Amino acid sequence: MTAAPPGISVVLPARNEGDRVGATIASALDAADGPAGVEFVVVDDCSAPGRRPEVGDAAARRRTTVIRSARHLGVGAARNLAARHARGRILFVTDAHTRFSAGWDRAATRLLAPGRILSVTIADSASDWRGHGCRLVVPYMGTRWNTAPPGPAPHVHVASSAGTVLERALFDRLGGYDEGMVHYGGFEPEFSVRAWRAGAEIAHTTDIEITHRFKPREEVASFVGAARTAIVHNCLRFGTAHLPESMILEMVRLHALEFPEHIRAALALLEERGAWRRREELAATLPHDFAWFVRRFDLLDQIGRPVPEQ
Amino acid sequence: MSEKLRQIMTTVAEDPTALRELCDDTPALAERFGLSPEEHDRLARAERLAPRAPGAYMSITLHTITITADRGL
Repeated sequence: MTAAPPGISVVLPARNEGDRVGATIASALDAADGPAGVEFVVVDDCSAPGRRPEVGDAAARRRTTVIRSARHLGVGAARNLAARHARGRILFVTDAHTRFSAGWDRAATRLLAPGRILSVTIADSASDWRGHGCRLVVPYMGTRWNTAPPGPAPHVHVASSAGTVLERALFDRLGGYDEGMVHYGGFEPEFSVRAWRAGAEIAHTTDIEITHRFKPREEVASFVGAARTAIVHNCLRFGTAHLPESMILEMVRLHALEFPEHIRAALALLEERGAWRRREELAATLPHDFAWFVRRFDLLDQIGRPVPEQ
Repeated sequence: MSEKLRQIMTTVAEDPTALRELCDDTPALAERFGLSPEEHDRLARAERLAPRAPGAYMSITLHTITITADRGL
């Protein structure tokens, strides 16, 4: 007799996370109402020896698939790879250094619907801060956290990758995260905007809380320093794919002024990785344009001006 | 416009003079690529979005995803 497939697949990209992976999985199993219905798919994104994912508990190991990549994929491609190996109807996308709130699996199953992505509440493990999804910053193409839950309408621009829940069928229909982006930064806001443009909705919930280990400032500086060109490229690719044409050059200049040492390499990557082709593909296939998203949220640019239609 | 934008971005990637124009001499860039006054105006006003003081934009650029006081990512 073949075991029933799990209802929920928790997908975790892990690069140099070591035993944090096992602790994350243990937390999810302990907090689940129905741990038997949960599996974990971990993509070891080319971790250094000695810092590969560790899952110490035998019962947790039986529920976990670890896929090791010999080359650095980046978080988007790693999540996509994990999703391809997932068997659950529901994907719970999170990070490898998180903790789950009680009953998270039941709440996810109850709140999810076809065409709906759940943005779950993100708590900081070292303070009482909480994030309730993010809002888009244009034309920078970054995000800012919402620090309070949305009002009566639960919708948010962007679901954090530390807590994004959706049906696997929807993830597949959207095409997963954009693998034209590189390594790190910008994946989930792009995914979220594309999801809205594709006709999905992103609803925030406070019924599920993921406690996340945020990096301390010195760790952030070192990490972002190493990833800066990739982050600039990903922001530019995000904007090239979605912004009205009249804002694209403004976005490029904004990044050029701020990151003059990275902009040329980022622009070369943009051309190399087919950003303009991506823009055309999305325009041809998505039912809504970016102007629809702007109207949907009354979005203004980052200094409060109207966002142009074209 | 798409082709022109693409050409500008490719040129900036390859030519340091074009990058300098993009950052500090937008009229020269506009003339070189035939930008309309409206297009140039929008480009020039990007200055208002980008304070030049190092670190002035930390609340956004520390990370495109997360920032909480002294912690991020």
